[in-house]
Amino acid sequence: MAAVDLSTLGAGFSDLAIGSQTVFRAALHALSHPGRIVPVPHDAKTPAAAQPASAAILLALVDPDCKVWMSPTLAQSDAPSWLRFHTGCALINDHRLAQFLWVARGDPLPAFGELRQGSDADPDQGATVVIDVAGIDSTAAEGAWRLTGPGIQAVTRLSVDGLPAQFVEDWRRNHAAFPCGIDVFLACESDVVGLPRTTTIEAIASAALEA
Amino acid sequence: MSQQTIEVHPMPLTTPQESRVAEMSALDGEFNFAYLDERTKRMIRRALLKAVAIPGYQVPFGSREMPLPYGWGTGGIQVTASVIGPNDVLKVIDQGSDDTVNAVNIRRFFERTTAVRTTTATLEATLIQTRHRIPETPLQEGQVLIYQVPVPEPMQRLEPREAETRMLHGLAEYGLMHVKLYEDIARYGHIATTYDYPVLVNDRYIMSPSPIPKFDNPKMHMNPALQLFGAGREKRIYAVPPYTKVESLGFEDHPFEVQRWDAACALCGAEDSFLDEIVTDDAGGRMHVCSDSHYCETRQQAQAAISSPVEAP
Ligand SMILES: [Zn+2]
Repeated sequence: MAAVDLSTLGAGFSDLAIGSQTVFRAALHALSHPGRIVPVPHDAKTPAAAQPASAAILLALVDPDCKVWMSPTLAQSDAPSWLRFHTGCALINDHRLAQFLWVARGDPLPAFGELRQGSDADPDQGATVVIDVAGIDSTAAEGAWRLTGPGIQAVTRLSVDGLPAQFVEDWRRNHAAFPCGIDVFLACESDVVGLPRTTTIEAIASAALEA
Repeated sequence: MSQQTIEVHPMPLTTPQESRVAEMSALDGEFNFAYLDERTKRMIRRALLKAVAIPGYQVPFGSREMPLPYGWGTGGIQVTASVIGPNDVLKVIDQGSDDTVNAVNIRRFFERTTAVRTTTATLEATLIQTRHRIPETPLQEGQVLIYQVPVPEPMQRLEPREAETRMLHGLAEYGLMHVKLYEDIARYGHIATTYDYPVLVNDRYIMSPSPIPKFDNPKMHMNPALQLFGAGREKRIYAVPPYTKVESLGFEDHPFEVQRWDAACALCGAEDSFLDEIVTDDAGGRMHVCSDSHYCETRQQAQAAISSPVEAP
């Protein structure tokens, strides 16, 4: 991790209690309504290497009890110093041990199967992965996902720009391991989408969309 | 097995601990927003997110000691304190009523520690903390219903060892639960459990709905609101996300049934609400009235407006 001048680090929430609560509620709402694009309002000055929404979520949720792993782009930026300065979280290099993982736009995703899954008796020990993406869209038809599961009344459509093609297959395996598994937040600009392990993602072929 | 061990009765309306909450609601001076410190709230929030991701599963959390005795509702209060923000509108009910000492004191506690607006109107509330009822008025998307839970483990009476029940949940090994209900049928000819009637959430976890009457169980199914459950003594949090399947356990030949009354509410005439039987005089006179006080009052007001129209103020 690069040495960073603390005086140049961006500020956290101007009001710690209210700032954290507001962002938590956005995360709770997103996870309760999988696939729905939820705005994350906050006034923190977040690291340039990260999407503001993902930075705000980590800023709101982690503390010294949390082990956080960051993908290479973030690890080499001021993000580690920023998050540790404001939350006191532990930063670790081994993604397999992390409770929270934060992946920068374009960085490869860690293999989901290598992350903390929890056990049948303690499935809540599964990791939370916050992934920065280039775009999320609930109206686009091309390359859309069809999401079903708890929190979704019928079906939610979502298209995500900036995830590897194998994500849907990786997610299928993650979902199949229920109750073990990981939970994901996708972040773009100031919006977030929650993907709890209960969500089923089906990629819709373009031909099916035209029909 | 006697009926006593099967029925889980709601706690009495008044408890000696109420004076402690009254003291807390009179708090002045230095305290954090919603009373709990930020570390505690973060810990509970992380547990809540995992609870939503694993519907019906009991997430352990390191409950910080509240200046409240257990069994009173510390779990619900801790969940509410971790969720509530300045823009929320809070409703607190106890056995359906906004007006009991418990409900009033919890409402005052949050007024004091958060300055949020409070209400008795079910649809005005963004957060509803409840003990032993689900409001009669259907909830809407975006609302959060927070239950106070005395005993989170549905199998506790059958298997007191916690490590054991965690394993049974892990394996979805629920034969014990069905045997218990079937013993009811063998003994009484029907399933005698009327409160805290176990449910299967998202086809996976058997969950205690807290001591709500089984009348309320169907309201949990595919509810648009988020349902959160807090057990303070046992340090467990669990959740039912919106639009989630919640099925009350039953058998093909003895399906789940809700309570029904021959009477209607004596005050508002409702035939669709959960009724409490009230003794009205020494001669043993009785009447049935809605347990949901706001529902009953709203209906009475609507009827009064129709029968004697008055000018709007
Ligand atoms: Zn009534």
